[in-house]
Order: sequence, then C-alpha cells, then structure tokens
Amino acid sequence: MGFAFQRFLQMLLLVVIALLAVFLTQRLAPGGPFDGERPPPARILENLRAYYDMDLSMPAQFNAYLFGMAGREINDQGKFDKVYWLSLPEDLQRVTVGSQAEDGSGESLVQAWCPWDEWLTSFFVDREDERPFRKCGIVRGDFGLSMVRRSVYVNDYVREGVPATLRYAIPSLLFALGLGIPMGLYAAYNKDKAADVAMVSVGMFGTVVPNLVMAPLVVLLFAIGLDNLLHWLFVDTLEWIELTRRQKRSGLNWIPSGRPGGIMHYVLPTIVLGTAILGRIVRLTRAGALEALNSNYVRTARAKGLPGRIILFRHVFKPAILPVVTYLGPVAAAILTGSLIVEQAFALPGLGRQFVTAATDRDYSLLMGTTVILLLAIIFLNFLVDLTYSWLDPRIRRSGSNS
Amino acid sequence: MPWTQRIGNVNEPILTIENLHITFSTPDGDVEAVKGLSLELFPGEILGIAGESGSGKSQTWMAPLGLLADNSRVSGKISFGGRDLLNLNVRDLNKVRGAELAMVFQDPMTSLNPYLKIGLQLLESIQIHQPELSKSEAKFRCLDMLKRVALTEPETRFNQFPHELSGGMRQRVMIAMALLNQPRVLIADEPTTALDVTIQAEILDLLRELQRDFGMAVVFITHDLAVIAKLCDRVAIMYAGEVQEVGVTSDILNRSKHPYTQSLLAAIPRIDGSRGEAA
Amino acid sequence: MSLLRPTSTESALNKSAEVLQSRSLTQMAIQRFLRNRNAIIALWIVGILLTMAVCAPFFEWYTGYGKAFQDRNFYSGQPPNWEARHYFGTDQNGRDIFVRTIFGMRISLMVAMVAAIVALTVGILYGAISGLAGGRTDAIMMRILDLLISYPLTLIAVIALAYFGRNIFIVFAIIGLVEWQIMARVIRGQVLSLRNSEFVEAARAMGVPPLAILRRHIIPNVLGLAVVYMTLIIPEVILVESFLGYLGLGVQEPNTSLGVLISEGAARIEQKPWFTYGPGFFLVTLLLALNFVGDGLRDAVDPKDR
Repeated sequence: MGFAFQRFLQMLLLVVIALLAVFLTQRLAPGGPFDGERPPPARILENLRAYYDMDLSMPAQFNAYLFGMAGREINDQGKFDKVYWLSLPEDLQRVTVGSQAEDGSGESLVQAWCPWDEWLTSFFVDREDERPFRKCGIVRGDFGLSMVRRSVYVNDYVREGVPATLRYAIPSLLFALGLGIPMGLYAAYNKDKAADVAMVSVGMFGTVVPNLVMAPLVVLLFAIGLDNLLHWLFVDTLEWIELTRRQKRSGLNWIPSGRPGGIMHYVLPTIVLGTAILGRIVRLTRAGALEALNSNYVRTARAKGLPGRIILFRHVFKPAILPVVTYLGPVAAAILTGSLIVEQAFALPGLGRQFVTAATDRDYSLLMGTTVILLLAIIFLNFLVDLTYSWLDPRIRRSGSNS
Repeated sequence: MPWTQRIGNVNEPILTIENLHITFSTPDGDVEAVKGLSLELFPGEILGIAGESGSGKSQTWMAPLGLLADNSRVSGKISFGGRDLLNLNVRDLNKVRGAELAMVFQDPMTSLNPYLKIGLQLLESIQIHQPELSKSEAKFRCLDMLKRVALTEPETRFNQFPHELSGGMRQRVMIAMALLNQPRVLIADEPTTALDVTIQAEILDLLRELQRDFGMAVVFITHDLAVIAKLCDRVAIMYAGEVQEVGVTSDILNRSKHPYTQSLLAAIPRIDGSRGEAA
Repeated sequence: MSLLRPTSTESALNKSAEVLQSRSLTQMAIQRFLRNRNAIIALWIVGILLTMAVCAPFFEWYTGYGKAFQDRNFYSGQPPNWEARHYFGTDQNGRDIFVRTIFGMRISLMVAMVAAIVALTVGILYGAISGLAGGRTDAIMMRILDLLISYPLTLIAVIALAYFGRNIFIVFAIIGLVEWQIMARVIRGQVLSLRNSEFVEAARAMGVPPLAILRRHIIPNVLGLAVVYMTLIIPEVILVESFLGYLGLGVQEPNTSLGVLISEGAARIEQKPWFTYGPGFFLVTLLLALNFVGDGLRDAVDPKDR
C-alpha cells in the first residue's frame, strides 16, 4: 500500500510540474499570438488580450490557465478590469457564459466566462451555446483557443484526435506484446536453432527499419501491389471486373481514401507501429529468458527433475517479462512519437498529426494542448508500469523493508 | 519417516562412474575438463571429493544429473539403479533427478528462484515426483522437512521469498528441497563455501545428522581438506580432471605417498607458522 | 589452454606458464570483435557508405547531375534508367535520386556526428558528476534521469524546433540532447564501480594524488565504454534526424537529409514509388550496419558468456 501511494503522489507531482512547464512554455513563446502577418482589428485584439490575461501577474495567469475564471468586469474605458474568479456578482448571476451583460444604456459591464459550477465544459460534448469565448481552465477540460484559427477551440481538435490515435495505438501495443513475448520465449528456448534465427531476424527487422520507411512502403504494397497482383493473377478481364467490384463492396479499402472511419483503415497503422515495438520486445524477452535459462536457479529446477514446460512457464516467464515491463515506459513514448509518422503517412486525423501541424504552423496553444494530453498519458502509463514492476519483482515490493 | 533402513548391500556400489570424459568446446579450442575418470560410490557412505579450482570436481558430478553446459561433450558410463545415466532420455532422467539423485549447490542465493516463494519451490519438487499426495499432505511433508533441517519458524518461511532469508537459512532450504523425495544419493557441491565459518559448522553437523537419519550416500565436493577430515568416510583427490588418489580418509590424510596430495596437505597453513615441504 | 599431465607439480606449473600468453583486456576485446563475422561485414559496409558520403561530388559528376539540371523538363520524374546512369531514377526537378541520396546521407551523417558528440559530452558530464558526487546528489540526478528516459524527448525536440526555428546548429544540438540519457547512466555506473574498485582504493592508499587517479585509472576505463555506446547512439541520432526531416523540421533546402527525401517519396508513393527506394535502402542499410557494429563492439567489450 505504501509503495503504490508513494508512486501516486509522485505522479501528481509530475503532473503539476508538467502543467507548469507547459504553461511557461506557452506564455513565454517568442512572439505572442498576435504577431503574425495580419494583426487583428483593435476590438478583437482587446478581447484576445484579456482572454490571454496578459495584464495579470504570472501566478494569477497560471491560476487562470488551470482553473479558468468566472468573468471580468469591464470598466468605463471599455477595458477589462476586475477579475471574478469563482462566480459573478449577484445581480449578474443570470448572465450566460460567453456573453456580456449590459446595463440599460447598452454599455458592457461584465464578460462572463465560466462560473465555478461548470465542469468539463464542452470537452466531451459539443455545446453550441457556449461559444465564442469561454475560459474554464485545463482542470475543467478546456484547453483554450487555437492561436491560428482563433474561433476554434483546441478541444475540438483534440476531441477528434484522441480517439483516432487510440484506435490504432492500443491495438499496436497489444499486437506487439501478444506476439513479441511468445516469440522471445520461443527463441530463447531454441537458442541458435533455425527458429531462433528467424525470430531474431524479425526482431531485427522491426528495430532497424524505422516507421518512416516502413509506412510508405506498406502503403505502396497494399495500394499498388495488391491491385496489380490480383490483376496479374486473373487474366480474364471479366473476372477482374467482378473482383474489383466485390472488393469495393467488401470494403477492402486498406488505405483511407479521405472518408473517415472504417476498421480497415487502422489495420495497417497498427501493423507498422506494432512491428517496430515488436522488434524490441522480442529482443528483450529473449535476452531476459536466456539469462534466466542460464541462471543457477533454473539449474536447480532441472536438478529437481522438473519438465521443460514447467520450468519455462513458472521459472523463466517472470524474469523474462521483467525487462519488457521496464521498457514499457519508453514504449508508450515510442508509440506516441511513432504516431506522428504513422498518421502523416496514412492520413489519419490523430493526435500526432495535430501535434505536427501545430508545430509547423506555430500554433502554440494547440501545440501545448496536445502536449499536455500526451504528457499526462505518459505520466499515467509510467505510474502503471512502476506498479506492475513492483508487483512482479518481490524484491522491491516492500521498498526497502528486509527481514 | 519410516525409511531409515535404506542402506542396502554395502559391498555393491550404488553409483559407478566409468571412464568419464568431459570436453568443452570454447572459442579458444577444446578443453578437456575430465579425463577418463572412474569412481565408485557405496551406499550409506560420505565420499569427499577434494581438489583445487579447475580440477573438474564439480563438472564430474554435474554429469550424472545431466546439468552440463551445452558446449560439452560427454563419454563414458555412469551406472545408477541399473541404468546408464548418460544414455537416458530427458523424460526418464527427470524421473531420477530430484527423486533418487539430488543435488545441493554452492551458492544458495542464486540457486533459488528469487521471484517465487520458498513454499512453491519446495512443493513443486515433491508434487512432480509424488503426484499421488494431496496438496495438504505435500505441504505437511515440506514443513516437516523444514523442521528437520532446523529452520526456525517454518510456516513463516514457507510463504517468504528467498531474499528474506539469510545465507544459512537458504542453504537449509536447499538441503530440505533435495531430501524431500528421499533420494538414495545426495551430491553436495561445496555447500558451505559461500557461508560464514560459524554457519559452515552448523550445516556440516546438519548434513552428518541427516545422513545418519536417512541413510543416503553423500558426495561432498570441497576444496577444504579440514572439512573432509571432519566429515567424510572416504575421499578422492582430484587434479586436472583425473582422480589422483582415492581411499579411506585417515589413510589419505596421514599416510599418502602421492605427490599432489602431499603438496595439498602441505599448503594448509599451520598455527605454528612452519610450512610443510612437498616430497 | 590445455592442462598437461603433471610429472610433478612444479614442472606442471612451469609447463602451463609457457602455454599461456598474457593478453591485455583490449587485445582480448579486439580479438573477440574480429571473430564476430557479422560485425566485420557490417564494419565494411559502414566504411563503404562513409566513403561514398565523403566522395559525394564524384557521383555528381559521374551521373551528369549538372547537365540533367539544365535539361530539367526532359529528365524530371523518370524511373530508373541504366544507360543514362540514373540508377535510382530522377526526382521531380530532374535531379538524380542516387546523387541526392548520397548528399542526403552526407548531411545525415554530419548531423549524426555532431549530435552524437553533443550527446556524448552531456552524457559523460552528467554521469561523471553524478557518479563522483555520490550520495544525495547522485540519487536526485538519477531519479531525474529515470524520468527523462521514459519521456519522449523527441516530442520536446519538435516543440523546441517549432520555437527556435531552423538554425542548423540548433538542430544538431537539439538532436544531441535527445539521446544522452543512456550514456549518462552507463558512465555513472562505470564511474561508481571504478570509484569503489580496489585498485583505485589501493592507489589512494599509496598516496597517488586524485588528479592522477582520474587521469590514469578512471578516464581510460570510462572512455572505452563511451566509445562503445557512441556506436549505439549514432544510429539512434540518425533516426531522430530522419524523423524530424520527415516531419518537415530540421534541415532546410537546398540541403536534404535522408528523412526529407523519404518524406518526399512518401508523398508520391503511389505515382512514383522509386523516390523512396534509394533513400529508404540506404537508410536501412546504414542503420542495420551500425547496429551490428555496435552490437559487436558491445559483445567484444562486455561478453555475455562470461
């Protein structure tokens, strides 16, 4: 219990540090959101200025970044003035979010953004009535406005991106683990025989051929090769026509043709991303299993007369898995970096693609928004990995308490 | 435990090694670790195998259990229970090792699986060779054996991991594990070398007591002549892969004419500071 | 080393002394490396590729690169054509792809070297400081390192490039900063074990001044390890550079790198697939060969069968 709790606290600490880092990076970006080819008209500039809290102190800005604010008062000169953090004053309670309250003469009094009782606004659900300006903070699920397309929220991008990425990221991890671990064990058990060499070669292939080479080649193979192959095989034109017609109906569209969705679209990215990770996993499992097989305790197990299968699954499995578990942290990172390539190559609307687009377009808030999500995912995954590792290896479970 | 009279006919060897050759192929060429070794082991005796590092004493006794490394070539004959152990297939060999022929290794820390509980490692030994026992019966025998090897708090230890035990305790567990199936031969490969001197004495006493109780033949491999003097009935001196001399312990230690044995004895530091001379 | 039959113990000892030659650790390591067939073949391949990269201008002349540029329209986008010496075809501007690949490889290798040196320096410094300081500082530094290893620094690199633009030296530096962690960890391990080793203790006990200890004992042992891990860092750095190039960050026109070439090819993969063949083949070969050399070195210096 103590160990898990300790790690959990560490995770929270990391989350706070990550958010702080992201916040600072975003705020200290060289050239704010207003430098560009065409500076926006003055009125909008004012709103943007207020939106980005440029006039507040840094800690206040960080607070706004995290938690948003209820609204700001507009003073006589039309400038944003007093900050209401939690809720608006009594007489303006009924003001809807995003709108401005006016007194009788039509002069604005307050810009309402996000009272404290609004949670996870618009992150998962599209609420039309809350546009345009809304500021609820990261903790409540609002990642702010895109700096390039100023009427679009980062959330909208992300909402599309996260599921798209997950749809092939998780399968590729499962593919790599489910195939890689048995392959590694089998290779170690049959060391130096044909099976071993074959597995190691597959592993080598996965490690060495980078995603960016494999992806286009796979596209080539499936988009061109399969078609041509079938064409070549079937001399009869009529049959060929029938085949292509059947193909289209069965949805044999491996390569996305602009239309969203379809499970087939995700098969190839899974394989491409999965193979790279598979390579590492096979190598690691094999190395761990070999070390176990050559160890003294397996020698003891043999001396006891235990049959090979029991030795493999009871004695060798855990120490063989351990390096893979350690590597799972970097694996999560590798999947995320790989996603940048894979989504580019297969034209998937995922988180990685948005990250790259944001980087090339210098859209700092989108960039940071996607970064926050990626960082959070990694922090959480590493936390899970730590827990799994301590559960597997009894030596560190008590975190230092030895009898 | 109702089987103290396992000794059998003391004039017939229980295990015979005939002309054993073990060669290892290394990148530097072939290394012949054991050259034409022949030895007999009689029921109920404690046979000591003495020699320096590299004499082949450990490798010789890995052979009967089929534990030699993959780059080894073995020839010769090892007779045990009417069979040639070197020509046995793996399945038959698995019936023998752990049951009739058991081994205790040098370093108890690495010889026990650190990821598995002690209890599991004991249970699997007894369950694979005596599958007819119920789970509770098997566990009872394990605990009983742990008591026999003078392990304190056996029930607690049963559920612990190896790293939670001290070296001496681990070695006791190893011995218990080896004896669970009442083997006729126990091979102990330098079981006390990795332990403190005080624990050494305890383990030696334990081994002698267990041998008296269970009546198995014990092969005790060591480089420490003092231990041999204390424990063994007969001793074989090994050097460079061959048996130089074999006989009753007191004969060898007091009246040996063999040059190597004499230099070995002379190498023992004496409390009066003088050094013996090789003949 | 064969054991001879002793006629008496003394002559046995003499005989075995004759047969054994003493070999230094480096010599043993080199021998082990030379025995590794894969590593030797790989080393040759790396050598060939390096030479090609250095002699890039020669290839330009050989394929009439300049001339093709003049006849742009005629030559543009042609598939591989043996007579015209365009072995990998030409790209959309009529430039020979093979030549572009060689130049790209040149840039990739250059970036790799500089970045690897950056990674090496930072890694050694970090590892050495951590190992020498010991205690609390060491623990904290290691914890930070553990964290950094699990986080995708490549993403940070992308962000950094988005912020700091396309200055080529920044690119080198940033790439180097992505890969130094493993080196730091390894160096720190080595420094620690050296610090606590008996021969260093003995030297200290004999009164050898600390600087001399550093120079004579610690640095030579650390350097060896550093070189070995360098060969592992280089392919990773090349990979990072290609990765960034593929995404459109990093090296700028008219310089190309392998990653940029591959991305150009990937965009046209369905119409003109040969664009990717050249750079793809060279990239994979380079990485494969470097990996084998690195593995061979690592096995030679730190064999697992010991």
